[in-house]
Amino acid sequence: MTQFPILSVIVFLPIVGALIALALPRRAAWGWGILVALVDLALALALIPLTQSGGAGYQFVEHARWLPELGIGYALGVDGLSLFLLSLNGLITLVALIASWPQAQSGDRVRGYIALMLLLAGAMQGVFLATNVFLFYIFWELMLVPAYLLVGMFGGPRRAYAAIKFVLYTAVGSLLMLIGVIWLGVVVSSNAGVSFTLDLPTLLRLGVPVSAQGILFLAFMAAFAVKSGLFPFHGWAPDAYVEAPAPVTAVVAGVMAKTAIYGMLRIVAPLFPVAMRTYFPLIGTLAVIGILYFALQALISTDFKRLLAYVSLSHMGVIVLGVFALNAQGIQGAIIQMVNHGIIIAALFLIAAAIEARIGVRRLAEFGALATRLPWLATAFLITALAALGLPGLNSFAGEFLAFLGAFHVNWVYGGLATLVVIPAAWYMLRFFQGVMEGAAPESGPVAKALAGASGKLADLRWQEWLALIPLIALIFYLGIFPATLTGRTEAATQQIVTATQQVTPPAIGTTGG
Amino acid sequence: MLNLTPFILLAPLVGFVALGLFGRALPRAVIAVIGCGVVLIGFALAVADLISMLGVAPAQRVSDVTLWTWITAGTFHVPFGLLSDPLSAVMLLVVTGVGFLIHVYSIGYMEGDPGFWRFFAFLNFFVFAMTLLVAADNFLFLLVGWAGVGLASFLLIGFWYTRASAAAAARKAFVVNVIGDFGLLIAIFLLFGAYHGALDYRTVLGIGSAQAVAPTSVAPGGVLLAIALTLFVAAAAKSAQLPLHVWLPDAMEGPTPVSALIHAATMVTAGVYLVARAHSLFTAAPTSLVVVAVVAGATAFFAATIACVQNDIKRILAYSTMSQLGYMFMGEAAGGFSSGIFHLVTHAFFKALLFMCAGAVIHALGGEQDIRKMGGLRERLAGTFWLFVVSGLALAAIFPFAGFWSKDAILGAILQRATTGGAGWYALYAVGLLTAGLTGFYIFRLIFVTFFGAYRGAPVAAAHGGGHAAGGRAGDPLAGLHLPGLALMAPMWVLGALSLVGGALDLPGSQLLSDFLAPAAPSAIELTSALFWVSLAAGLICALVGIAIAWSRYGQGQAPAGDEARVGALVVFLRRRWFVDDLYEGAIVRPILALSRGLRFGVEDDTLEAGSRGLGDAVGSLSAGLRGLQTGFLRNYTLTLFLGAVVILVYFIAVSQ
Repeated sequence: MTQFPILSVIVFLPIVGALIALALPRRAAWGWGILVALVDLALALALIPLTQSGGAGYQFVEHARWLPELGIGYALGVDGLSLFLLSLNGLITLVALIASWPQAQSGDRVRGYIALMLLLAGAMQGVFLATNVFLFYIFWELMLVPAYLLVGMFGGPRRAYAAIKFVLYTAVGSLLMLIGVIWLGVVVSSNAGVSFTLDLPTLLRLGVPVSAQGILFLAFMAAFAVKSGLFPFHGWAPDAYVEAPAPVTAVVAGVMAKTAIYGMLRIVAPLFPVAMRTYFPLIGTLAVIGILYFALQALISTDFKRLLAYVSLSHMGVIVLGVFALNAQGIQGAIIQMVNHGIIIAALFLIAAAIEARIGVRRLAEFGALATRLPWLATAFLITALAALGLPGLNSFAGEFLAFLGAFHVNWVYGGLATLVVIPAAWYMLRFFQGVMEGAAPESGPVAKALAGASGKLADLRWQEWLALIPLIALIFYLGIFPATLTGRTEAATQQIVTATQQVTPPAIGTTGG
Repeated sequence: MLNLTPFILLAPLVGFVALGLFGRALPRAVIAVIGCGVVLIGFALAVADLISMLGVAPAQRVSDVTLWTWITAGTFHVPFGLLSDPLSAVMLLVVTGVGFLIHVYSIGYMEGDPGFWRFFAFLNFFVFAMTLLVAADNFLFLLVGWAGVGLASFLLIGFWYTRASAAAAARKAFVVNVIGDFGLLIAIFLLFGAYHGALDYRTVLGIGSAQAVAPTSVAPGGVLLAIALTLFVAAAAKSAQLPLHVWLPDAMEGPTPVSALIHAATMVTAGVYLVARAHSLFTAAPTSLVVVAVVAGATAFFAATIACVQNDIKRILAYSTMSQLGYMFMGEAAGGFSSGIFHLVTHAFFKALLFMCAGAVIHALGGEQDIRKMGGLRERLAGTFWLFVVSGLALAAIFPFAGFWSKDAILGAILQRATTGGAGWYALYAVGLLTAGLTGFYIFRLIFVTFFGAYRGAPVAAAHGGGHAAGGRAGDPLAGLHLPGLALMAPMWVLGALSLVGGALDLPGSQLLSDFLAPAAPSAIELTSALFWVSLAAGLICALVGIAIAWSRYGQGQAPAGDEARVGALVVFLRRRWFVDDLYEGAIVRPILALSRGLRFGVEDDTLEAGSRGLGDAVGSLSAGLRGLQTGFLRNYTLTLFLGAVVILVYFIAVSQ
């Protein structure tokens, strides 16, 4: 292999960087973390022009022999499906680290915090790049460790409870997936009469027998449903999102939840297409219920961080629905919406953190009129809120429109009901924005004190906050006006998934066609 | 043929970006020049486009520019393109022309406001979004403009955002408008299915296409009806038709120039534009036009009745706008699409002027909006008074003012439709006549109560600058009256002239506008037919009767205070707006919130607890070791997981061999 192993570098740079962070002086750790994330992002961005947009299939492929007798290989590759997720991960990790300035002041533990954030980023890059199902699983499990510790060690008052719940939910899902991974290799290899393998392109070529698809679908979807927060498997999410420090939540909701959608598109849809269609009524119904149910929960939440947790879950339901539409529009929508949702939800949690840092509480009822003193924060908040409610012209619209359209085309009842969410979405986002920024100033309480300058000057955006928010807001505009930037490069991968799922019976068994 | 449409959009966009980023630091004069200048540039370009368009044959008056590919997904491919045709040309002229006058008016009206720069930035943004709405060449970018004007409306209704009532009104307007966006989204999804992914007007509506495909050949009747009705949901929300009208009266919380521009002259007419634009889809599903007729007739009458009892000067005009929009839709329902657009144009002139006059009165009285506290302003505000009368006569459709020609074109179209359509259309015509009478009544009630008799309000505080106070004797309650300056009055005079002669656009015999619009928006009636003259006479008589009743009750400037005592239940019913707002609150908003809370306690809290309860003992034992969790638990967990994996793996490999 003479080619520069850029994919391995993208995966292992943050992981090695994490180890180095532990050895650095306290004051250097924050800067080091940002530097590592920045380089990782630069490498991920460099892949975008280097990848051939027209060609389907993996590029920059890397192979290494590793436990070949167990069918486990070290294999990485990138295609249109994973291309932008690498940059998303790099970007959200970077802005989350920049916004972790308060955490960076927390003394000795800063090194651990930075190391865990980098480890999480590296594990997620691994998930997005692995082309061997077992390697995918290893990175999947590796994500859990730093995520759990970040919630459990650096979170709010109920962090221990939230962290345990997070681990329990994901561990149950992961164990079922592990059984699925092994069963998948066994079924395919015995059916095709070849030796045990978990190499994804090989599995795709051999095909999975229809009789085994149902049970394998359920095993993998157990993990993906939990991690994507599909109703009713979302029990861990609101607590974890509320208790984790905001930059961690930005990464968990913005990127980690996407690994589940990625798994559906990378593994479930092409390998179990028959089961996908069989279970569409079930998953589609759960997605639609979740979309509307979480929107209603957001509508009545009093803690604005919890409100955002439900906002995130509701929009994740739209992505799941797009995936299960299994047509070009739905899948294309899901792929680009993963990126758009990640950008928006990260920005929203960072803005929530900026508000909480200034006032010290999160209860909406205590707020009002902050825009009078914080015009730039209010502007950033309004733009992000409008993007979140799906305003046409901003980035979320393109993805959700395609996902709704795809679902509507398959079954207008699902698509129509899901599209209804735009109404409560406008309602809850404006309730949040106006509740904090507009209306009459409260006469007493923390906001009144802050407005009166009782605890020092109420300052508008600090430079760290500017730095974190500007790239996100720029992308909200850019990807809203030029979404073809994304769709042009994801088209081939989308077509590949659609084609794979249209083969109702796998080629290995052989049919008379028709 | 010229197509300068991209630049017509670009000008106000540049204004918005420049003022939004740097406006805070700029002096007021610069802000005013930028804010008004970019709209004037837009207007000049629109005029240039029109002149160039008039120079070519009617069949070639369509031009389309594609700027970039917005999105691709399988068979779905949407470019960002702009269309220039007679209908968009008329709309662009109204939006930039009336828009420019209202921008100039705003210089005077908002002169003392600390948010002066923000106001002009938002106004420019509105003009940008509205020009996009009318110039888009496909339904998706129509939706982008559609939502954009909704956002502009939200920003401007809530301009004084620390007022809780303004913030609430802004939110209400936005959410109700999103219901319309939902309708438009569903319509787009249905069109996507029917036209195999195409959403452009050329394919779907046959605009500028020699071989237009009949909608009935691409989709079954049920789908066509669903498309037309979902489009009308969007139109009804934007144009405040029943039952999606509830946001418009509350929108009067915004500054008065906003009411004139967005909530009278331009944005609220977007629905009328949409129905005219998509008229081939509506006529392909005739049932949809019956629905439009019923909703529009009901709205026109409903809103006029409420306008008769309101005492807030701006709310009277808001209900009047609803009612007039109902007229426009009635004309379209009867097949008179060009009549609907004609009334849209004249209404933009005289309703913008009515709001500007109201604004001048409110400005003069230091913010007072209750007509019971006005009266006797005829001599002090003579210019405003006469302009109010001109625009009032135009609204009431009195010969020869603009509204006379346009409203009676609509009534004539309905009468024409009734000769073939049957009793239902005669009933609609009757509603139209009755509403014409109510219109004459409510607008002259407003004028008489405001300007006639004696002043009934509290003394007006002295003018802010002192520069243009009315002066006068000591003890005069109107001594501090703030007389409108040139920035306010100049645009009003222009609109006054247009309200007077605007009917000349489409006079019987010349038919300039309907001939110009004919390829884009057909008309239903020959303006020279006998039927039209009968209709003109009937409409005029009804309006005069309404004015006469207003004169008899309020001609001496009587305050409308005693209405409740005299009419009782009916007036209360009207004051409560037919209880529609209460119905919304009781039947929709509260139940949704109650349902959400029920789900929180009944489902969500249980789901959240299931992690600990469902896994019972596991959690119990783990919580016991909580304090040492960083070390013990995690290592054990990871170890167990990997050991388990290895065991299972070995087992399967053994089995499979």
